[in-house]
Amino acid sequence: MKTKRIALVGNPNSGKTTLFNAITGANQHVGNWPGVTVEKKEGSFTYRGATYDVVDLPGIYSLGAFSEDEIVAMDYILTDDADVIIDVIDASNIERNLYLTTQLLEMGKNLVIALNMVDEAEKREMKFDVAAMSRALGVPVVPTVASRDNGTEAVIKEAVKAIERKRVYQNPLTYSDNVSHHHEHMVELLEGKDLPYPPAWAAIKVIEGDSHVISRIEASTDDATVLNGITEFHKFHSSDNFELEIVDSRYAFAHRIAEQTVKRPPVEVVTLTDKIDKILINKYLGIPIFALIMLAVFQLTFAIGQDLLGGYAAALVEGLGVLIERFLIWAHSPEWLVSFMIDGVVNGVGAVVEFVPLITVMYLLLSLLEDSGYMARAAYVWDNLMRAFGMQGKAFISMIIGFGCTVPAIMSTRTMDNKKDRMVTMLITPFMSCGAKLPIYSVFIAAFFSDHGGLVLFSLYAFGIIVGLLMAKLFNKTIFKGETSYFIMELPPYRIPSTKSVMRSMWLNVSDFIKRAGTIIFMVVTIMWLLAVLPGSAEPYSQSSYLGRLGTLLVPIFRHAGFGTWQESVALFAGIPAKEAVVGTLGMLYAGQYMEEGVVLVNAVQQHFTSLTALAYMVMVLLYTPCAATISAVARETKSVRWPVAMALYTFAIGWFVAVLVFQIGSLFGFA
Amino acid sequence: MLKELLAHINGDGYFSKPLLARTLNISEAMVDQGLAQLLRMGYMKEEVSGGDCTASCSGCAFAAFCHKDLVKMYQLTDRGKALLAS
Repeated sequence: MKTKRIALVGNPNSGKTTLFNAITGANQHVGNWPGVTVEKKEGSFTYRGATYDVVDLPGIYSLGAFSEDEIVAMDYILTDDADVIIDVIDASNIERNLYLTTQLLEMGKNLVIALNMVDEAEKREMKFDVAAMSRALGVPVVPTVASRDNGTEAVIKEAVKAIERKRVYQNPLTYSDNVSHHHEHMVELLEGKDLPYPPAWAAIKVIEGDSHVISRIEASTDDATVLNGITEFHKFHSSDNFELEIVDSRYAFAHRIAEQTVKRPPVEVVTLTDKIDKILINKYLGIPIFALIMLAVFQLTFAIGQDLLGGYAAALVEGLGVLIERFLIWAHSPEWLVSFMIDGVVNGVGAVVEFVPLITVMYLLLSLLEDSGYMARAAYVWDNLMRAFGMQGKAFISMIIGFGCTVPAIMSTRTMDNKKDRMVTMLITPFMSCGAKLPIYSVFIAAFFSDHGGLVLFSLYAFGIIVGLLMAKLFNKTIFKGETSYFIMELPPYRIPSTKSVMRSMWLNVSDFIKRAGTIIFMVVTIMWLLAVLPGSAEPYSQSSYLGRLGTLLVPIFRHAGFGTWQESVALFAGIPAKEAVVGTLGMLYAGQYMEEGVVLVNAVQQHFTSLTALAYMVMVLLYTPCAATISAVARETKSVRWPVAMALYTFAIGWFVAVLVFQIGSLFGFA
Repeated sequence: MLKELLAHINGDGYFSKPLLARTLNISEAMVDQGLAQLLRMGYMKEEVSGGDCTASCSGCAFAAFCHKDLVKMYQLTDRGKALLAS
């Protein structure tokens, strides 16, 4: 006599394999299903003198042609190889698990349900009317806790009983009138055609459009009426929603069973997340709250990063400079090497490195906001505003990334399907203040606005966003006309930020800043130093050096913006390879010029600028031509030369125009 | 349930799974599964943060941000719009 066979099926994490282990003990072996890489576990057990084979099918959520696991399970179940199927349901997640049960009932299979993990469900105050559930489903239901071997014996007993009786096919589902009507006709078409599946079930799968079942039917018959009937049906009903209606019928059935047989504790109608969201994403309060949060971020950045920790970094760079200088003099190094190391490297690169604490604090705070779930709310709040400027909410993600570095922000636009949205976002992203601009602002803020550091920094970031939005509106009205994509955002629940995730995110930005200081900034400062000390006939760091001559050429361009010295002009030029080089170059040039007086960068800036020219300079830095890496990223992403060149020129023009405007208007009001 | 779920998702331009679960009187796991079904059947599409990329991650400036889910975004397809309009 053939050994009776039991198949175990269930959702992933329903405890199916635990039950399989409890039933079979050590009598099991593992292999693969033929032709696929899906694991096949088989075992056996003896009950009242008879031996039964057990097969553990892959964990699946439904029976369809959507994954290898589902196809393996569906084919196995449909071959009628198993005499009974034990459907393992996670009791704490019953509604979701009942979807698969519903599909098994549709197939008319000989079924026993193991209502597993009832202990977990009871901890959640869920109560089950097992008898009512069994009646409603028309199959035996056995509560189990497989991990403690509770109920295993009862499941085996019910499975053996089920094998002995023959289940009569009875589909408990009620489909929509539309589906029922077509089902009737499809059953008529398929009946008596020697198909591998029961006609009533196959008819539903054909109407549902299950590609796997349809291809199996097509492969098993050459009956033209069946083949043409199926093709014609899908051709004629391509725009209908039969699949959705059938899936919905299954959900409705699963929901009804759960409602009738499971008692759950009342759910909190309004949660804390809802209460917070009511305020944070409020139509009118959302943006002002975002502004307040960002203002607090910048205030804290200055209070901790600059006032509290900044001095240590400056003292470290200064101390290192003294040590290097002493060592070089002790080693009788040539004068040019001492000049390069101290004026170029220490005062140039060191001027950038001093801002590591500031950068660290800012990215730490932004990472905290991101990890708490707030940034998703900010994206939603911004989405409404950005749509008014013809942009989509996804652009906000690029803008947020742009606060770190513009290059990845440009690259993040490749997720936008709409070319118009992508181009506009790319063109305005450079107006978002990246981390490299922070050291420049910090020097000028320390020199002129130290009492309102956070506020000035916040205003600069906000101004960058405003200019970006205005330019987006202009682009949308002129060269990039068309519809903007509309997105729906999923708001995650608020959570306590994880230390690991926050630290990782912060480190990504800070390490990039440090890496750049050691590579590109070092390179730019080296070139600037060479230009500042050559030719040999010229006084180093003077107007007659190559750098001085280049700066003098640039002076007329910037004179109307109030920064009319060659050092200030040439520093902006140095900012095109990398923005941090503006501070590096100013540090090197002023240190070279004032070396004997030992003047630090902030003091030198106070001597060369006024508060108005400092403001105009910061605005210029905020808006003018992005760094070379950004321009090159735009060239790569647009696969053109036209767009990066256009971006470099238009941003320069905007930066220059606004800086001139700031200086001229300020002068009119007597701030010069 | 699915059409109702789609209508609620589309309603305000944002959604949260716990809120949807409470509104529709279903579990969050069911919302998850319903969302997965709507995506699979082509009524909605999920926007992935990584995008269509053939470049290698090493040396890519975007690698650190790629597939970082600051916020999950979805879009209604024409099929989804037609369903809601019907």
